Amino acid sequence: MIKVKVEFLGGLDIISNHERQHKLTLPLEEGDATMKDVITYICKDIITDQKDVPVFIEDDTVRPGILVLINDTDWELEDKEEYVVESGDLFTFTSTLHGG
Amino acid sequence: MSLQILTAKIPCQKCGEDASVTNRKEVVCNECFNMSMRGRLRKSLRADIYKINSKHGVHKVLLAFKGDVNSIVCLDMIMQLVLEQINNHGKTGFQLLVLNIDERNGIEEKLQQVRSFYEQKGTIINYKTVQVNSYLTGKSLKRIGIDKKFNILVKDESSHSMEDIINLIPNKSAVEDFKEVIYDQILLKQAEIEGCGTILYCNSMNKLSSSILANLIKGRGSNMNFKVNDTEKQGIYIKNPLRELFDSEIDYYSEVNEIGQLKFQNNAVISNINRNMTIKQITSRYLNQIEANGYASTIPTVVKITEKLVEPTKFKPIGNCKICDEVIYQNPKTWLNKITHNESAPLVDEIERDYAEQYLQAFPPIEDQLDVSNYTICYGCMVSMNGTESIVWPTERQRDQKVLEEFIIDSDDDE
Amino acid sequence: MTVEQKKDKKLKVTQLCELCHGRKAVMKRPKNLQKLCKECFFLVFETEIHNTITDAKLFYKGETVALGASGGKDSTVLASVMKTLNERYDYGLHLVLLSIDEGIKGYRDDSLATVKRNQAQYEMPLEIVSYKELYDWTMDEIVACSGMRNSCTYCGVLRRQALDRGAAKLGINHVLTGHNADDMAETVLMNVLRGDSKRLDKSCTIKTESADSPIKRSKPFKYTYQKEIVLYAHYKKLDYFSTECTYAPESFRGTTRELLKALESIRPSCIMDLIYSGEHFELRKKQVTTTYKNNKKKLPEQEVNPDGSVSLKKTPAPGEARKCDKCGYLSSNKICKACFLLGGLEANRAKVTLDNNTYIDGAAKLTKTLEHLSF
Repeated sequence: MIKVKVEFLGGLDIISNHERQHKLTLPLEEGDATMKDVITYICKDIITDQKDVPVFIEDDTVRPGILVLINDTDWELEDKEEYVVESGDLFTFTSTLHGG
Repeated sequence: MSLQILTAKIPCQKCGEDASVTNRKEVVCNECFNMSMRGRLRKSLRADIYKINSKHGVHKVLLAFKGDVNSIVCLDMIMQLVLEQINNHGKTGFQLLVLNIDERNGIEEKLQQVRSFYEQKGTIINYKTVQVNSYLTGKSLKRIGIDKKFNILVKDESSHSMEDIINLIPNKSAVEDFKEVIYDQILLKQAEIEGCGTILYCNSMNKLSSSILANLIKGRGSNMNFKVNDTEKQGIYIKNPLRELFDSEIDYYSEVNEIGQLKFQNNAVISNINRNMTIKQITSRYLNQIEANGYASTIPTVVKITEKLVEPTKFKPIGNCKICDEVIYQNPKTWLNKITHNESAPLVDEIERDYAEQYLQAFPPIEDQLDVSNYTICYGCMVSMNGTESIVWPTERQRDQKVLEEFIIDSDDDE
Repeated sequence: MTVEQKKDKKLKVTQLCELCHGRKAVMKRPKNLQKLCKECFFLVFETEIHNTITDAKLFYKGETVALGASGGKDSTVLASVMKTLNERYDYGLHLVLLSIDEGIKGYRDDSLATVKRNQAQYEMPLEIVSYKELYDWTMDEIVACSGMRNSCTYCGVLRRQALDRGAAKLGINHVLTGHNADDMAETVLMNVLRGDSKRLDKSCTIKTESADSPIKRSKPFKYTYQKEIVLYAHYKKLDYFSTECTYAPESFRGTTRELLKALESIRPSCIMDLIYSGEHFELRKKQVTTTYKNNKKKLPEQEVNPDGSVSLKKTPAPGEARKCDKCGYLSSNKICKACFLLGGLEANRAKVTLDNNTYIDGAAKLTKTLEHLSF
């Protein structure tokens, strides 16, 4: 079991009932779970309406236009989907598209 | 898509025979469809050059033949003009040379098939295949890189084949971009060698519009008018006679005239996943999608607005690009330096200074392997080079020296 | 990462910032793929905006400028950065926040609350002008009348004039907006896709002065990526509001945005590349025909451009500022753009109010529901 936190910012909270912060417990062992598992988990258990999945996912990855931070670091510097999840990690998803 | 095949029996609006399709809001038979499509092609050519007894003499025309359906249709429409001239006058007003830049084996055989197809109809096609490696002739190889301050770094490089050179480029979109550069320049060179006054490209309106968008996105917008408009380069006319035809019309023309068999099968499957696609594939997919979603006029709109663009006058040209030979208006080096700041914030404590020291030990500043040069590279080529340390490229030798060297090469050459 | 954590967790050299080499890199720049730490990112972000400002000579010392403030990320970062740069480089600017209340229930209410907090945080005066007071129409009422399809068109025209009028009310003739590089690139693409020859060659102007407005407009974020604006706001913990307008953007603009995002995923620099391309646009000069001169009837009717603006057919003679016949506001045409658009709506209004009063309140929601119900 790994306990992590997930945040939806920049208006992205619309996919999760306007709930910006979520605490999750991944049913996996530390060392086994990657960012890919977190994304799958979010799609399955956090996105309230399955019709909203395409707001979050495109081509099997996080939709372009959504900024992903792992512990406040751009996930592009952290191997993106391959990142190995640790207990206490914070994943932030921010939409860059909403209102200027 | 505007073209629709009819199932009901309706008379053709032009001749009264049974109509076959609705196209551009007209109900026409196949024969009238053919005529109107060929008419659009003839309108796009500069007609008088092709006329019998033109005051320009017999004009030589190079057809850039790729073996795709566009090339086949363009060739067929031109051959119809040739056959018409032969039947009516016993001679033609222009000479056609079909040129293929050989990227695959077996092209020769296919071209032979194309030739016999028209031989049966009463005329002989002249064709020529050119190897991509011909781009190396008369040029010297350089390794070209760009430093943080956007200086162009250059060093001499030993011999490579064009295939090696392209394989060294790590990014799909950059490969696509540089291949186009090579292709265009080979055509220009061949037109010069063969004494052709015109190069015909076989781009449909769909192809032109996606290429316009791709060029804009690649930072090549300064030369839009040269890239897609009918223009003149080094005294040679460059034209896109299919510029008014939609892909749907080209496909239908090929079907009606049963010329699809002449196509060189292109089995490359294009991915639909963004990260596996090139810029041009993405723009082309986009245009097809919005065309299907009720914005059908977008494709002609993009082509027409580009026709209105002219050479920029607010910048004084600073020279030609060493890679693609396009004119450079706004100095990319100055522009990029203006928008990019490269100084660090001060280090504040021992921990940070300690890390910086470790970093310098791990990655000692290496003297640039290449020398800062006075080369000018256009913005588009710089963008395509982004993400790679350097590329190898055949560059023109000094202009005045060139003539002399070519003379020497020619005399040594076995050909 | 806090200092404590930094001491605890040993960094690998490959994790270090490519500029200072002493701190952990936290972001990758779309512009040049450089990996930077927070401090170096703040510095390059701010300095590049400063360079843009000085290179384009956007203001003079002592000038009073209005900052368009919507409460969204771009305008919040604009206020923050302008305040920082004004102090750091001694621009001597007087900065005022100018906000527009379009009258969109549930959207603008919350964002105005953000602007009010910004006012306190940045210690700047704030002026709010509303569509209702200027035009006697709220956006909710307009949508009830004309439907969702053209909402962005109306709103765009009205907002532009509202910003002008708000600035004029304050005696200011320069408005800064938070338009960023992504917006600019999107505009370049849109203008090509729509064949908008009236604005194609102006797609990339950083400072616009138009004949029908005495107010200059500048875009200091012309070369600033949206991603970096969002990151800046995030790392600086700026207080911004981020709910999409109730009225979804028109579908065509939506497709352009999607295209750009798809392209960015394979080539992050494409935003800047499009701007470079767009800066070179020049259109063939039109042949001026004089045939209209003696034939007044053939003068074309006022034409509305695809974005809803009205093109200027005539420029008033120097010194002769024209005024809109209807509202008296400065205009280069007989009737200003706002009055022209609203004129068409007036006829419908009475009917709508009579028919159904609920339309006015939360009209957006209702119309949206209705649109979903279409068979």
